[in-house]
Amino acid sequence: MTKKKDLFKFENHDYKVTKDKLDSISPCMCLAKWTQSTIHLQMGRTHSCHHPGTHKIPLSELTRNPSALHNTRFKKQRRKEMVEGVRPKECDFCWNVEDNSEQYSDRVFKSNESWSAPYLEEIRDLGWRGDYNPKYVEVAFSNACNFKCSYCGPSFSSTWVQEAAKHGPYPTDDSFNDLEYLKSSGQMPIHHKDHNPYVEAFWKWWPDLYRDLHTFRITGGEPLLSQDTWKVLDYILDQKEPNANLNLAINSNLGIPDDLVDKLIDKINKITDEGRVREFIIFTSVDAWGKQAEYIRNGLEFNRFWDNLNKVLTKCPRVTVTVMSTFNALSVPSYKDLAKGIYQLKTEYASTDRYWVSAVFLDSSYLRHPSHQTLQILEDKWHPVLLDTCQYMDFLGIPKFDNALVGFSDVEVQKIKRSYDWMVSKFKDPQQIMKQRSNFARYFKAHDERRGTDFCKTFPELADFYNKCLTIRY
Amino acid sequence: MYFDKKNTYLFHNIDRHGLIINKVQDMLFRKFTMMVEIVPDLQHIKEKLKTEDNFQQCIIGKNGKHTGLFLCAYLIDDTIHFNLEYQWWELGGRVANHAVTYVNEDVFKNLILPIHVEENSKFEVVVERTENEITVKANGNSQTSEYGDLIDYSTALMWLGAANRLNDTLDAEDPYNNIYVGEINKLHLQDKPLDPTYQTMFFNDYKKFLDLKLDVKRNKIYITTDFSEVSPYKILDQSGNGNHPVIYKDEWLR
Repeated sequence: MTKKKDLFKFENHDYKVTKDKLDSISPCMCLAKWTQSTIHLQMGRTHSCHHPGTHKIPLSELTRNPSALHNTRFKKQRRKEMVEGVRPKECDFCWNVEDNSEQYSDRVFKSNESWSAPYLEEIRDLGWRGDYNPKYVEVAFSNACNFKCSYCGPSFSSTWVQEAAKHGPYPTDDSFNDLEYLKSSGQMPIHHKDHNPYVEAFWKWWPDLYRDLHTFRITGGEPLLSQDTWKVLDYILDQKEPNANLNLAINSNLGIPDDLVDKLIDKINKITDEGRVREFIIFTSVDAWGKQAEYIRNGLEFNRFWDNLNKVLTKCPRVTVTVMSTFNALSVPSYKDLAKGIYQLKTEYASTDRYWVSAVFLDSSYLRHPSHQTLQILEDKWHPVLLDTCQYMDFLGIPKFDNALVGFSDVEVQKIKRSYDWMVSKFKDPQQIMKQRSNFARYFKAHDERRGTDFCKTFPELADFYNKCLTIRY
Repeated sequence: MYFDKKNTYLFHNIDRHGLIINKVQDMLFRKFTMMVEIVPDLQHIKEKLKTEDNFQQCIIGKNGKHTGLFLCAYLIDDTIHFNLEYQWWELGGRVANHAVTYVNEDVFKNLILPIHVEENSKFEVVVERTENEITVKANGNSQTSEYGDLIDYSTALMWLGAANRLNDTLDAEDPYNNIYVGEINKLHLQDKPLDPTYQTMFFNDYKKFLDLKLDVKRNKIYITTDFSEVSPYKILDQSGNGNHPVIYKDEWLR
């Protein structure tokens, strides 16, 4: 007969511990509001994690204190709400996850990260008033970009600015990517060739910030098209005593000219060979597979992108690559193929030389804006398709948390499951869905006209749906 | 797929990603239809019978007071005899012990189907449990038995290729683990009865069986696999239930 023994446990204990610690301060507490900062220097706007919208950085606050690129008065008020047990409205991404599923939200994931969790006590003691040097910083120096992804806009892409200037806003009910609206709401980027006081403030703050950093990530635009990106890399190379604990990350669409990819590889190898950082990560993006991915991210040549991905993984043996997916309605048909492709890369490039043996991570977040391209506009028949993709990623998953095992981690599987949960959420507003389906069709009809693309040819499995949406009068 | 001491799988009872539609805890619980194709390792059995008169191997089952499908081998006068057995425990009645105290004793039950095993013998086994009967069929033969109220298996773990692995010590395996050695090449388990035509299709034309796309919820399907797609850690459940058994590793428990 069987002896008694504990049941096989798969629960990730760390997340539970973190959640309990956060909740002991307040159930609305999230360390990312202190420890994480995303700063769009091209617009003078900031937020902590990328789920809430950005807010303007007052130039008046900057003149006294360049760390106000992060510690704005607005952000301090949100910290105050959290500490006092009030859910900041801007953080509704996580409240939706916590209210609609049993999955952990990013509030827990981010607070559990090594750039947050060790600082819980000092943050609790500092409170909401003090200035805090964030540990995980993401900056965009400019919006120079050679892509114009369907869900993106002029704030983050100079080619989007050109298209919007030429053709005007898209004919959705919210006039998607209207330059006049961006100008009036302070979201029009400073031209990448003009003087930028926010970039100036950054370089005043940088020497102090650099020493405290756990993770520094450069985004954009396309970072490799900005001179400030190369300045950061050269700064690190020039330091007599570099911050060797730094995890350095650069976003790139890996669709830039070959000489820039090669220049990046060269700098990465110098930095890592000399032990100047703890870890180097490349973040790139793709939301589907093949031609469908190219359609969603206009400018992408998928095969070239995949070749560059392999090139970086081959020539930079100590670099980890995170592939981010902005999971949207158009991702669903081919996402399983992408998951298979990423898994192949994981097994092919697994190496104990890398910080994580699994060389590649697939990080998906569901798109919320623009509303016309979200998962929720799709018909119910797509639910089992996405469920099948989630189940397949679980099949390719590792059975326990161990950075030596190769396969999809708990986080990777839970994030795609989260997209499924949101997609099937019973709190969808039917009126809104019809409105956004109408916008969906109007947007992609104009997209095809302006860019010479063909939605129905690229997404034959969505052609009937698209044509039905064209008939919706809203 | 070949199963042995190093290759036993567990249907984990914690659905940590919320992706399994029909839960593991319900497997073998109610009425069910189970189909499994096996090729026992005769050489291994012969080796084992050099030191033991009889033993049994669990193809698929739950631990505790075991329930499941077993391959049993025993020697009588130098001849090896084989049975396929479906085993289970039922709630017993009150019995008196030596001190004339009445206790409830669970009762062991087994349904025996004798089979003949040669080198590379393949067995297409169907186990069907209805309201109050259980039938084991294999290669044209069958046996049926009545059954009563099962004991509580709600906390038992469901294994593939053993009855239990939780008793492994660092030095030797526990004899009650009943590790199966041989191939398991197809497996399907659901609660609803399955038309005999589809049962034949499962064994003879697996692709066509998959193309039926049987409704996972309506048929309460737990797993369908031909073991053709495996990762280093899991076997793909091709039914759409998302119930991928995980390879058992002792160090993951310690």
